[in-house]
Amino acid sequence: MDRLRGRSRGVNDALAQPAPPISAEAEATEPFDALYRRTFPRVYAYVASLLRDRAAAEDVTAQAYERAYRKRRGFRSARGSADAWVFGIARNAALDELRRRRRRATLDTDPADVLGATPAEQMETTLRRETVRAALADLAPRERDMVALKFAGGLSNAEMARVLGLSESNAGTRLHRTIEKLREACDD
Amino acid sequence: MTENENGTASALAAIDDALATDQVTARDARDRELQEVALAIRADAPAPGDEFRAGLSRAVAEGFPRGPDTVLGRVAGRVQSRRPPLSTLAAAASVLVAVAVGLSVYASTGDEPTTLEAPGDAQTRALPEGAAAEPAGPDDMGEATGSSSSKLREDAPAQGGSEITTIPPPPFDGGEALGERDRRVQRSASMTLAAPADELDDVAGGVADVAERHRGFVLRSSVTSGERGVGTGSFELRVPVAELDATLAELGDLADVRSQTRSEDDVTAPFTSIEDRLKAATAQREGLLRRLGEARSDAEEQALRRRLSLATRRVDALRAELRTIERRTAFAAVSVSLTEAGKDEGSGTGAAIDDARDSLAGALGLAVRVLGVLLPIAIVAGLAWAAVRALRRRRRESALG
Repeated sequence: MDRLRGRSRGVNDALAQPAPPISAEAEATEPFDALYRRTFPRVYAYVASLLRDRAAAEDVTAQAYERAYRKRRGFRSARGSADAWVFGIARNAALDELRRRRRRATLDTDPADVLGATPAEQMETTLRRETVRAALADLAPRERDMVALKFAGGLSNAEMARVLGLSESNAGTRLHRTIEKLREACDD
Repeated sequence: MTENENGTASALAAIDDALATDQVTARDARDRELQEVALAIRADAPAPGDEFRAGLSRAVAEGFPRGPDTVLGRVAGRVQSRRPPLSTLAAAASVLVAVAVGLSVYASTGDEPTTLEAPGDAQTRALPEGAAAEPAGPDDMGEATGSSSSKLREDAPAQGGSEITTIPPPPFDGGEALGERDRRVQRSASMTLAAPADELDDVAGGVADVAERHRGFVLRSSVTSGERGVGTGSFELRVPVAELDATLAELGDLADVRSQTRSEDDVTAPFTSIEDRLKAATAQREGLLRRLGEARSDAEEQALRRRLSLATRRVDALRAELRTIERRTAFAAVSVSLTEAGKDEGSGTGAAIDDARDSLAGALGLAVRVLGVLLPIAIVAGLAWAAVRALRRRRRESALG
């Protein structure tokens, strides 16, 4: 399976190098810090997309990695990939935080996300992003969670299904439905 | 695959392709739009701040040390991880179940009486006033109480070489020496005799002879015969208490004594109680008889006769109880078991194997008992854990509405 994932420019900037493909065997023996380096920007992006609060996202991301570190010996590759495992922990921590806070804050836009583009392209990009954000805001929380896992977290459909506790076909169908909804919203 | 499923698969493949290449590659217009949306969403994904990233990386490298100046320390100060009380409750519930199971096991093993009940206790319970008193059933002397006729037990049919015989006791003539006039003590003894297989027949006969020599009798006997003659046997004897010591001594001369126990039960209190109640019941009956003679009407006479009938039955029952205790204290019960010598002697490989088998059976029994206690606890704990997990997951998912 191809495990190379594309990332947003902002996320790419946080990484020194793109994550190399990793086999299941290597994943089972991967050191924790290697797992952290490979997944940290995506985990943060997912948590931040879900919580929409930078401070809370930092807290939850740190908490998630600490939990993962403490439970690292309990990881079994037979149950799923290490990425799905880490994202599962992060999701639980984020949902706990959501329950505690029950609030949604607006995440500040990082102007550095748009780099090396012409003013026209910048305006077009900004417009598109605002359109996408507005469409995302209209999604149900569960749909937003799925979108965050797939695109911010960069998980495969199988890993996303694992984290959400769904079958892969069910997860794929729901994702398709959600993206179609977003596409129609963006077209409007 | 249906058309819908095909469309879904095609769309998902297009999305994955766009994410992998970071480009819009689809030919289908709809898929192209999906790819654009996917890339736009990913491009908008938030990025971590440099300071936070550096702090967390340092924490990972150091193994997440705790302290107020660390990233995790500050996080710990803001985020309180509260353990759901449910897990604590589940643990407490498991402990309670363990205690309850343990207590029930202890209580069931403690139900067995550690002391012998005073004989005749079942027959010394006070009769409720005015209740119909039923005569006591046949006592272990083989004689029906409240009746002059004696009931003989029929011999059981011999099966597999075993036979049970019952010899009716000689009539009780009363006035037996009790040893101590003021005390009523029931005495009993049991003995296990072992003899070589070819001598067991003689020993069995000798047991009955000893009882007869000491003015006693065999109440019950059971002898099992095997290929080589008598294999095992058991006897229930009754001998006058004054002859108990001499009887036991002679029985011990018949064969090798493997074990012997003696016991005494003081039944003076219940005997005295029955005596007192008998006196009271007798006085009541006499009073009713006098009033019957002075009855002035048929109705009064009928009422008195009914009460007199009840009183008479009560007196008879109490007398029967008294007689039972008197017989039991007049004669001592002696149980004799015969066994073949050499069977239970530990020697040779066979005995070692038997011992090993017994030890294994004992260990297995203990393991089964322990499992019987632990298994329900484990099941309850497992169910509680599963319930806590399910509830926790449900609560988390509820955050998404």
